[in-house]
Amino acid sequence: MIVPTEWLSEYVETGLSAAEIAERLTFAGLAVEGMEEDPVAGPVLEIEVTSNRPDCYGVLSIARELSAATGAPFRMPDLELDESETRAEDLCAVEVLDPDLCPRYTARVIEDVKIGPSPEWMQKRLEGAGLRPINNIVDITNYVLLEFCQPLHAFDAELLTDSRIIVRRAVDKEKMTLLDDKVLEMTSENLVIADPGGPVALAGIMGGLESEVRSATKTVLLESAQFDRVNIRRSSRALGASSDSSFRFERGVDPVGVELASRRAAKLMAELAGGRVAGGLVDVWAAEWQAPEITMRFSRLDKLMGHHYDSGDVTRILEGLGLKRTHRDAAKIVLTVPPWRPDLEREVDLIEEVARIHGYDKVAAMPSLKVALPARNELVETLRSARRVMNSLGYDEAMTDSFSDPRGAAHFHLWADAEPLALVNPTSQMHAGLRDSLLPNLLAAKKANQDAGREDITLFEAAKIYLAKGDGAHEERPMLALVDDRGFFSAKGAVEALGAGLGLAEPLAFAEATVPGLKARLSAEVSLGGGGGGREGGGRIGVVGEIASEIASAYDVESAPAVVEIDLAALMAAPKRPVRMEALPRFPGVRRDLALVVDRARSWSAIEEAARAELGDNAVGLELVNVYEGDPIPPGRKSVALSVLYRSSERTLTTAEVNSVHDEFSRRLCEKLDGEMRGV
Amino acid sequence: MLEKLEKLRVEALEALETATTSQQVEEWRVRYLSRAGELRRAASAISEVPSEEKPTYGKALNELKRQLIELHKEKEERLGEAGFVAEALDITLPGTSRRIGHVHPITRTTDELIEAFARLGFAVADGPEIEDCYHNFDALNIPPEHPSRDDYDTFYIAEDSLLRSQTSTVQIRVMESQEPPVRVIAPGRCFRPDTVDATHYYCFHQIEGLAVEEGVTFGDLKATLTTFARTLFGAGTETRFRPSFFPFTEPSAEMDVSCPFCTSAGDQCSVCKGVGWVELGGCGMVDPNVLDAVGYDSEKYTGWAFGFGIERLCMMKYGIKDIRLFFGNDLRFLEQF
Repeated sequence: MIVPTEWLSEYVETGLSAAEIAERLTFAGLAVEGMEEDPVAGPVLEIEVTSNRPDCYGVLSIARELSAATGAPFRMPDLELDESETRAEDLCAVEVLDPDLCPRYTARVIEDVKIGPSPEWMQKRLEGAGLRPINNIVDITNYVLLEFCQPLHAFDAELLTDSRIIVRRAVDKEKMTLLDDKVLEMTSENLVIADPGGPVALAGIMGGLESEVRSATKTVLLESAQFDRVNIRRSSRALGASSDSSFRFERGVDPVGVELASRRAAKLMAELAGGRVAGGLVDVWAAEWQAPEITMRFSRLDKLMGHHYDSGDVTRILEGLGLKRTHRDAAKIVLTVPPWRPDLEREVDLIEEVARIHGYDKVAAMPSLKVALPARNELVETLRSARRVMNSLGYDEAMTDSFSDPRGAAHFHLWADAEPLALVNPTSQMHAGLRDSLLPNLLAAKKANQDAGREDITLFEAAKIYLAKGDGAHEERPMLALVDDRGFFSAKGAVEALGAGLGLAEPLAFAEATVPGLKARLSAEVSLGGGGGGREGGGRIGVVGEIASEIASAYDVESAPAVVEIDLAALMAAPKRPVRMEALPRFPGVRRDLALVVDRARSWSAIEEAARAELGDNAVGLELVNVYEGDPIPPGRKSVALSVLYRSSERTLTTAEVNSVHDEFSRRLCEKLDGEMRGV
Repeated sequence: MLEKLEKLRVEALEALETATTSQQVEEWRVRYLSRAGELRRAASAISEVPSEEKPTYGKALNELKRQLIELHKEKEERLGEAGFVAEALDITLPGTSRRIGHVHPITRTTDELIEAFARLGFAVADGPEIEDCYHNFDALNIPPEHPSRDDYDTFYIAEDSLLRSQTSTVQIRVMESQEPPVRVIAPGRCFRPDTVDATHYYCFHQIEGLAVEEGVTFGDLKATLTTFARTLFGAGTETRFRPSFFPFTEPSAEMDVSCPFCTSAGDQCSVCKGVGWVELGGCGMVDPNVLDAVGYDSEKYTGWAFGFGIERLCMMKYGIKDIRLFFGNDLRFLEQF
């Protein structure tokens, strides 16, 4: 809402500068977002009106706020009408067929108007407020619209068939040409103002071309009405037609003000266009407005705000805003609400009025919260630990859209059987599907960095995916995904480190598996170790692998990176290793190595399992040293070097006994794995 | 066996003599004196020595060991005095690279917020991103015909399934699940069908705060948020509260903080544009309708709530000019945090 300060001063004389007015309004709740010097209208304020105060799209309400905020008296414009002998009801008739969409419709008739330019003072104010002057009658309707926040429409009464107004729903496919030459085809969802010959205006939105006020107009039928907010909004959207009028009707107008604005405009038409105002108002009003009454307890006001308010101040503030006091005692005040303030319904609404006009700055900042111990949030802690682990391993945290590239849905459909959830109303700049894997967007992020010339890209994201469950149900699952140019074992190592970093009781288990989107033989399923699943299958909580080459080319990423996606909720729920200190060893350990040549098809996990089963007395650790293929190892075989740590908690082991245990272990393992010992 | 030992001595002495750089000396040490070195090998060979020769062998071995260690020490000292200077390392060369990953700036800011509120006794709550109309609108006192419910302002998956347009939904979820006193913050992702530009993106993050107890006042809201602002922006930070409107709070306010980035008066600060104040977000006393909706006694309990945009805070704090960078994942951006 744009308003020249000169216009405000007609209703409230504050003696303040424009900047001071802006400050007072802002701290009373009408945020002044901008201030400009208009060459014609002088200083103008640009006010941001909150959605609970549509009345502030009228200059009068802004003036009333300013009056309440400054204490300067508020003056209503003069509304005394000089009416002629002729009665309006003899000149026109109004019929409202759909009172639900038009709670009030009034018509007034002004005869013998002379169309011409409006006076300079009015033109200035209109221009200052951003409207273009047209002629005295149209300008008056616009002026009162801005003043009272009440849209008005002036018909040329002689162009209305039978001088009859019928407010009705349009017939399907009914057509009308609007003031802006636009031809509309309407439906029964749209309300029209019609005469017996057909529609003459799209109710509350725009007048029709055929009944418009022209230079030859002599008699004006002045419409002032209240229309259903939702219907106006829907019609305006559906038909692509909007105006300053529809903007206000959508937000709601004052049902009592309908008549006041009509009176104000008629008076101006008499004064500025030489018109004669016919007596009376044709008024079709479904239900007359009743002033609601609200009680406010002073104690409640003080209790909510943490501040003591003087009851005299309270009364002055509320009366200044146009409420009428009906009762006051030491405990409470009872007031009726003015018709332009339907937002005031409850005690708390009045508390807010008092608080904002009195000033939030007057309430002392007084902490009253008692000491409290915040509860831990397991998921937040898990996310934080996971991010810390990934950062320390060199992975950079990415944050990608919740909406997924459709390529991804086809390639990485890992966690749900149902089709991905989709938005009904995506914007043109985004994908419609909700991601059911973090990988597609992460690959796109890798691609973008690759295009920027980066190499060795290692990115991760920890965020939710959205899984459709059928029957409209869905699940949100927190996942961690990564993309890693350093290959499969780097990615796998990251998963192992993540498990360790989160303190899992058992290391995560990996099993070779066919995973959609990943390279065969270079992909694995991750499951919780120990009793948590693993080789029995079904316990998959994650995948790791290098992406299949056709997918790498689909995303145009170089060198098929390794990826991981793992369920953080499962990691969060998995048993954790209790942190208990173990006594430090008192006796030295002895390390013995062993190199075995075995069939190259034997997996490390099989070798490890066999080795652990054969470990002899005092063996406390087993490690893989390296795996070697090639000369001098015969083709089809590989050398696997292990290291075993021997230590007793009771004494220093002798070389002889360690050697004997280790030799026996080596011999048995060799036999079991069908291998031979290799000289170290 | 003793001959072997003698041969080893001659070899070792020769080799040490020819070593002229500290690197060569180190190689020599590894070859002869390390755990897997020649001396150790000779020591383990004692098992092959006939038992009557063992004491002699052991003695000779110890003597050799002592001699080599001593000579090595001398050699090192000599190199340190003279020779070493000539081939000194350039210690201004960069250290061995150990790259750590970077935390996303939104995570970093969120963690700072969580930390600041944890000190004030606030727990972290979370809630679903896919919500129903009840939690996103009805329970928050947003009327059925409110324009924010339109598909211009909210993403829908189905008629009663939407992507939350604000984290205020978590207020409701928390109050549904527990009795007062309540003191939580809820950071998280929100969604609105905004046209993408430098300050708008259809995914963004908010942080919601809620305190409900007996006797909680607007004065307390001011005090707590002022303390928070000082934690985040420094002890000298001032706050101010301007009346505003939100359906779920009443009275409602916009909170401003004195611009933490203005270095001096009259400075044309790019953050506050010289105004001296920057808007942080909305707050207010929880509307009694909201308390009633979750079955709290709104006569007995009062509460306050706030909602800040995390991107906005982060952009302010780090001088980021374009919101699209957050979801762009350009490493040249991410590596700065």
